Amino acid sequence: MIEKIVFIVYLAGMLFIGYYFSRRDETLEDYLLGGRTIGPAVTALTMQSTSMSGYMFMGGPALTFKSGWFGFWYATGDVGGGLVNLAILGKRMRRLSQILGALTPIEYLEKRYECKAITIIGSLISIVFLSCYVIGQFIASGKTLETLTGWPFAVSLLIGVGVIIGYTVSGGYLAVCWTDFFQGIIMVLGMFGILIMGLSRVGGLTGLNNALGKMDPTYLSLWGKGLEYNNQWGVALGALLIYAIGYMGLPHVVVRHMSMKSPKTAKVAAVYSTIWNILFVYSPYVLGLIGIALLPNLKDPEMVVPALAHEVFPGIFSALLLTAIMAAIMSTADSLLMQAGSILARDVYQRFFRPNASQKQMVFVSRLLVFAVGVFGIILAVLQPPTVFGIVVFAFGTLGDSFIVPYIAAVYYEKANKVGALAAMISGAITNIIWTAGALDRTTAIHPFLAGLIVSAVFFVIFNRFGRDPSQEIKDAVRRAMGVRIPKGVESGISAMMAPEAKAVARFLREEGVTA
Amino acid sequence: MEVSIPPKCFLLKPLIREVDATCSLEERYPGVTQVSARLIYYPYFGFPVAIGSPRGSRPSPLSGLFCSEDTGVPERISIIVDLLEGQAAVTDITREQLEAFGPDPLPHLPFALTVPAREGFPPGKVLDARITMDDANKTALTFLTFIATKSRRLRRCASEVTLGAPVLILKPFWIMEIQSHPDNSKMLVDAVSGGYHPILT
Repeated sequence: MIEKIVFIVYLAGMLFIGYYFSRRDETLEDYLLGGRTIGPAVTALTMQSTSMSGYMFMGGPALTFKSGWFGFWYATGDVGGGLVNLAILGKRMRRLSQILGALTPIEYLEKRYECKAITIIGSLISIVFLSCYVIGQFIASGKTLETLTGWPFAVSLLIGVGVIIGYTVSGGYLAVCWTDFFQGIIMVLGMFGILIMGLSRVGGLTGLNNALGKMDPTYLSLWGKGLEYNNQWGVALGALLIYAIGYMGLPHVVVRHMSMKSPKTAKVAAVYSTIWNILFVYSPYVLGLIGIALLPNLKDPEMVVPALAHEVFPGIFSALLLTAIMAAIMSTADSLLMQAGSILARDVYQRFFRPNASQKQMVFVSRLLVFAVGVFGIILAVLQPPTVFGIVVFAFGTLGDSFIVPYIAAVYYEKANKVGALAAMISGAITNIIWTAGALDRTTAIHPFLAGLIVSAVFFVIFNRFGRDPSQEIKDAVRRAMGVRIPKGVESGISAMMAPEAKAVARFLREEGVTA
Repeated sequence: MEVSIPPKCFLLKPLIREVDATCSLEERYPGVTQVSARLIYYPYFGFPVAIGSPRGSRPSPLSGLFCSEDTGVPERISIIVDLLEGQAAVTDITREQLEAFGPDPLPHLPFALTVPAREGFPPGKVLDARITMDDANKTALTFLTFIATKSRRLRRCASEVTLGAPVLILKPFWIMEIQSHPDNSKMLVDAVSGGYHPILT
């Protein structure tokens, strides 16, 4: 009973926050990017809570439950993911998106590479795989509610999907960011609380390792239970990289760079997101290991965390965990749906079908997609539900392989052109799909994500030679986005006392440039 | 924003010419060459400071900017407040470095004011102020209290440290565009001291 009460209070709170911030959306830039006013703390937590989905409570723990310490390849990459993403793309993407006047990550690529085809292919990849990703979140919500409330899976799924969709369509980007911020806090508190309880039950990490060693010593190996991946460095590296650099290819995550208050926001946000990651990321993987010791006969490994909460720590901890899981699912699902809807409305509908579409019409198109994905997700989940781990890793990997190279090249290489970018996007996506569908990681010992990334980078390098250089305007924009480089050796003679004047003069020159 | 200004306005005489600034940068950093240079004037409020005697007797007359002419007391310290960023600092500007400037009385800030060409220096635009006189007063007072705690002498008579009426000071700077591999960059050069700082636009 207490689970249901806490869950309803939580939902009411999130709906209120969403409603409060949705009233501030006045322009299209407000609706899609929160008016580019998001500060470092909200940027960090919305980025991390969006990045960490229901996967962290289901797929991650299930992985360690089945494979032991092997799962920590994924976790270790994930801890540094936020920092890598903000440090490599943050400042430059924020600057360039504003210079180009881009409001969605796909529009940004189109304007940077001066190519309509990028919009068509990019939108297609984004909408399909963001939808796959969100279906993983729907399934996670259904499973969670089923375990913690006892309702049948179909009913739980309907309620979970209904809540997510109703909540997403109620507000714009600013509402999504602020609800993500609070959900990020709930997630870390819930997860960390359950971790401490769990570790106290098994005698800490030492006790846990002793218990695992007695059951099967290979649980303690980084190469998986039964040494399944013994010395398969291609798999290990792919597992490490997928979450370390994969976020740079996710449209719903990189849009956070575009909405930051200023390029400097990235630096402080990187610190906050790393602290949050250190507290949060390892916890679900350790809980998966605790599950081996406390619930060795569990049938569905993806239910290890809800089952731990329900059976081992009933009552308030179970309620806390339910809200944390739903926070993780909802904070990711709303961003995915928001992004897929924005891409459909802005980059497809307005770009190709109705250039003079009003904001009301665009919001309607966006909501139509949200509804369609919801219906399709329910049908798929009821008929033949895939595992949360499988669908999330597949969608995540395909999005990452499609977009990482074009996004990085856009701000680091001024001669990157549309031919190179298109080749990287298409080859990356196709490689990941073929590798996953054919289970080629088993025969090649190379993770699908790593394979897609290598192919995408190689295709970019080869095909970029065949395209024409971007226009001078774009090259200048990229140079401006790279920021001013202080000439070598000049740092040693700088008069630090002049910093305030230099800052004010920089602002004066910027304003003068705008006026001119 | 309209900022009322004190009746007195002074110009800090530029000493570093364009060619000097260029040579200095080129000598120090081979490979760096100047592309263009532009003179601007940066506004500050200067506050003279009255300091109480350490023996507890009456405060000495206002020290610092322009007080020596009226009182005969040697100039000591003044506080200047940057009118764009609102930062305060202790200054050692002396009367000899300054000259009276501007129509009297000046209009309210910001004003489209340009200091005309003079003694081999080109004309220079005065940057628009963003800080009001009230805010500058508060900043200067807070800063004075802060530095009073750092000095044993000032600490003993901190209650008797007061600010005088401010004056407007315009300080010259060069904005220099320099060529360096791979891109051009901008440098702010103090036209009085020759100090410099990169401008990160």
